Amino acid sequence: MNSRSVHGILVFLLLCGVFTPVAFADDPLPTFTIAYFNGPCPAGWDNTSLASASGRSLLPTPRGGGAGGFIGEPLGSQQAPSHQHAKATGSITSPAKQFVLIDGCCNGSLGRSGTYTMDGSAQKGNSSLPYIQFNACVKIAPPNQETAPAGLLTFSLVPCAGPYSEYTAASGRYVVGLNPNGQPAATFGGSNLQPSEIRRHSHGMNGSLNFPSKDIAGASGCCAHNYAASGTFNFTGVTEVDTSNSMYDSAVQAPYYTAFFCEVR
Amino acid sequence: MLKRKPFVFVLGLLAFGLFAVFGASSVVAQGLPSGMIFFVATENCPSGTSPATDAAGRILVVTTDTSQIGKTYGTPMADQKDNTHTHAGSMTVNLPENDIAGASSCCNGQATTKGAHTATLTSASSTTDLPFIQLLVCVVN
Repeated sequence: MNSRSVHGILVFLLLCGVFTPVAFADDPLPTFTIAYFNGPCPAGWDNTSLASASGRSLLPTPRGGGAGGFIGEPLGSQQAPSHQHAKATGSITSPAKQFVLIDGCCNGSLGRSGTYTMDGSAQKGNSSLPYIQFNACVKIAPPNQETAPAGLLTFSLVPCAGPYSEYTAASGRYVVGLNPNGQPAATFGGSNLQPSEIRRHSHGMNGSLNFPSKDIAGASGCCAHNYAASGTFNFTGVTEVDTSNSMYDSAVQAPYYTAFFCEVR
Repeated sequence: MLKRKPFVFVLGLLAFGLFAVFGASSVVAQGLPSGMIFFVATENCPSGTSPATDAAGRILVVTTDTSQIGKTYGTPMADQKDNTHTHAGSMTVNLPENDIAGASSCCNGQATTKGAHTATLTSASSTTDLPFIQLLVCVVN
């Protein structure tokens, strides 16, 4: 090889370095790794195959589950996660009042005293679930020969293998960014999600109800019985799950896309 | 010595060229692609990476629209504490009729009418009951 040829190769390499800074994927992450990115997918990564994940949180696969499953209605950008409780039941007791009159015909305007069930609902509202949006990409190129930092945690479409092992502490749990001075890897909230589970919750629906007065031309006393009293009385209640109109009734809008969650050993 | 200088120079250029191609500029510390976000179960991100502070107290949601990256919704959760929420709602009771042999007029208002009676209310607060794990979010510089 003469000096002119060497110079030609050097110029070629230099030009490649200057004008094509990302010649190909050059990172140690295995093919089918999924990671969030705060920008476009780099070379060797792609997000077109993750269209089903858009608007959803990547969820470490629940125990016994697989990758690529998704649940919930995806969120639009910065959309408030909402939900409703279409059904609530409760109970109220109306004390009895008596009049110096006779039970029976023909004034049917009064209510009967007693303990009764109540029905109700909780309107669609904000779920107060905070989130931040990032791109997500899947690795389509093969890894290089380097090794990723020990302790690195990210997702994968295929089971963790080689120097990666599944981080089971996170299985079926949403990953929340650690607060400053927070305890790393602490778990909180409900129990781990099961495969395909839609997690629901409920609210107390206690309150008070004001029964308006209904005038009657008769004194209080014997012997017309069991008329529902006017006034304000407390009741108890709780929301219940009603999926007749929506399969996500009583579930916070927290759509997820499952993937194996792998840790570099 | 003077004869070896061109050789060293050529080697240097060759090394630089190789680095420019195979050590692409998108790859930084630990060989990870710039902008990649990952998690660690420790208090500090590895060298060459930085904590994604805006992610603290938040779950991460995928957006394929790169113009929407980094945008947030809601108030971050405190350490190990799910946020709570309430709903506006209503509850209704339907009182059955109880007839009486007396006119509806003045002046005893101790009873109430039959039929539906509805109360509006704000529900008790509740968490989402979703399960969480908190991990440090790191972004490759």
